[in-house]
Amino acid sequence: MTITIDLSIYPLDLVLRTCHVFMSRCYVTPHTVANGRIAVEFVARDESDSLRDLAGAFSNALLDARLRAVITDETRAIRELLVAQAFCEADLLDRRDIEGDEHTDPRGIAG
Amino acid sequence: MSGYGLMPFRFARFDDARTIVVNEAGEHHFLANEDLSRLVMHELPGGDETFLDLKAKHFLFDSDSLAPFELLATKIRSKKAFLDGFTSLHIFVISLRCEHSCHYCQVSRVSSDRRRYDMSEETARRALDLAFRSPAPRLKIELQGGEPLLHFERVSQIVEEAEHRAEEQDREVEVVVTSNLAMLDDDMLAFFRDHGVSLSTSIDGPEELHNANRPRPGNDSHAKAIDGIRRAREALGHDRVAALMTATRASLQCPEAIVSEYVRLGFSSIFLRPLSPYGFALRSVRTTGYSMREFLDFYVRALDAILTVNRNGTYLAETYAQLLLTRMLTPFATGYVDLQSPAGAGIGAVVYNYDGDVYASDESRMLAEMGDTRFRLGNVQSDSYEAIFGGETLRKIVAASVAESIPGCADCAFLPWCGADPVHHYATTGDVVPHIPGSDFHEKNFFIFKHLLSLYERDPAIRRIFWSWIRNEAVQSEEVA
Repeated sequence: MTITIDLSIYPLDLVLRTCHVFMSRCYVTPHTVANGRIAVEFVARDESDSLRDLAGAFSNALLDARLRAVITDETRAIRELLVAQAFCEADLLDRRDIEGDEHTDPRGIAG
Repeated sequence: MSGYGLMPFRFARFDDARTIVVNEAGEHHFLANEDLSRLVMHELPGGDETFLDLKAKHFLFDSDSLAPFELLATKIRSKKAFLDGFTSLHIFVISLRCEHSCHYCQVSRVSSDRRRYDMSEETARRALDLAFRSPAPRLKIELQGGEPLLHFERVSQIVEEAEHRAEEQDREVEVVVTSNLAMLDDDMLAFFRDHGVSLSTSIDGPEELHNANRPRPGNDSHAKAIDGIRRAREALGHDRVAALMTATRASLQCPEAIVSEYVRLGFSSIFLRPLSPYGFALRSVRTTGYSMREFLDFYVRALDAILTVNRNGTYLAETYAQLLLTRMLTPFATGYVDLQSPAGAGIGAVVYNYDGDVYASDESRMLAEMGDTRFRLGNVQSDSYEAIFGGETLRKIVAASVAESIPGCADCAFLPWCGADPVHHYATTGDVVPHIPGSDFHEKNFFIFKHLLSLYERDPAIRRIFWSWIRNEAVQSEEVA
């Protein structure tokens, strides 16, 4: 079974992410087609699996992926600020560059 | 500001009607499916109960105040507090010798007369040098084997030297000896009592199951362990002796009997552990092994039996559930080297093998015994603290175990409660980065998170039992009946 997806609604990275999630449930292969659309082909791993159900679940998962993308885009700056604030007192620097010199060659640049 | 803004969170469809949302600090909330869309599209009305719940739990904000962000940042820092202090658990493999020949043993056992597999005095001293270089304010030293009591001379040396160094440095050190207790004598017990050492042992269930899982000459492993537990409790105190179980294929048939055995022996906790994919466990997988699905069916039945025990007035916590519930329901960090992000291999725990080789985890040591030394960090005799704990090998392990950057984990709603174990992933798939769809590690943890949440949501009595596990204190039986 094959479904076609409009890339103006679901960008390619979302389609591929969703394909990845479905890899354990079926064989899933994306193909490029014309006019800003992509086709995703499903082959059942087990003969008893319903391809129609798989394709339906895939479409729902795409909607969830789109929703996740909206949340991620809106909260990206806040997430970065939160993590920076959470670890602002931690000493996480790699001190090799600060404390090293040409004699100690901490990164082994001289070979 | 007008309207509201979203704070970062992840979500998963929980059942046909509900979605669970989990924020960066691990706080969660259940929403009707349609409310998730309304939340993301900024369509939730301000006075709505759902709106207020989500605001209180830091899923959204509706003012220009920085206070919610500062509070959430503090909670995120608390959740990652297991990173503070660097390596706190130092495991010493005293000897590879063991008189048991357990089918599932992770370690390479050798017959008990081959002393070349014993840790030397000098190796123990050098390993202690490294352990005491760790900046962790509290150190935990675990002495294991093989069977460490077969080389008691080294056990006593390490305990006494650790005690001396701790006193000199004004640090706290806790020592635990992991033993099958078969060789435990009164002199050893007196030593453990005088030096505040705790014991950890294995009880796999009733006698027949235990002896089948843990063969030894005389087929009396269970009787020896029970006798050792009794004497150790008398000498050290009831709570200074803990036990673990490992589920084999035979165990899957009798979860209720295993739980009953722990109750009969007076334990307050039981740790339901699947086989590990290492060492002899891997070689004997045909006779002792099973699928993760089969283990999870066993886990559900055993947990049910444990909850019944608690309902009947006896406190018994399941250790894995206790750990996960603490992560899910409290702001506190719970370090568990096999399930944290980044993983605790090397930075939370480290293993000094009998020959001085240093490994990021017991599992990495086992891989080395099978011929794969990729997780060897160095040797206590030839490598410095900086080379071992700051070297490329450990840096690569840590980098591979940041679940926030692993495909499949990054989007998972349960990420703030979960983690990665690069050594496990490598042992099972050949890659330190997991392939989440089809991963037994993911299958186990995703299922248990959902199962615990379902139980917690469904039954107020179970909710009280779970909180008693988190607080580690019994509740009145009428509250949970």
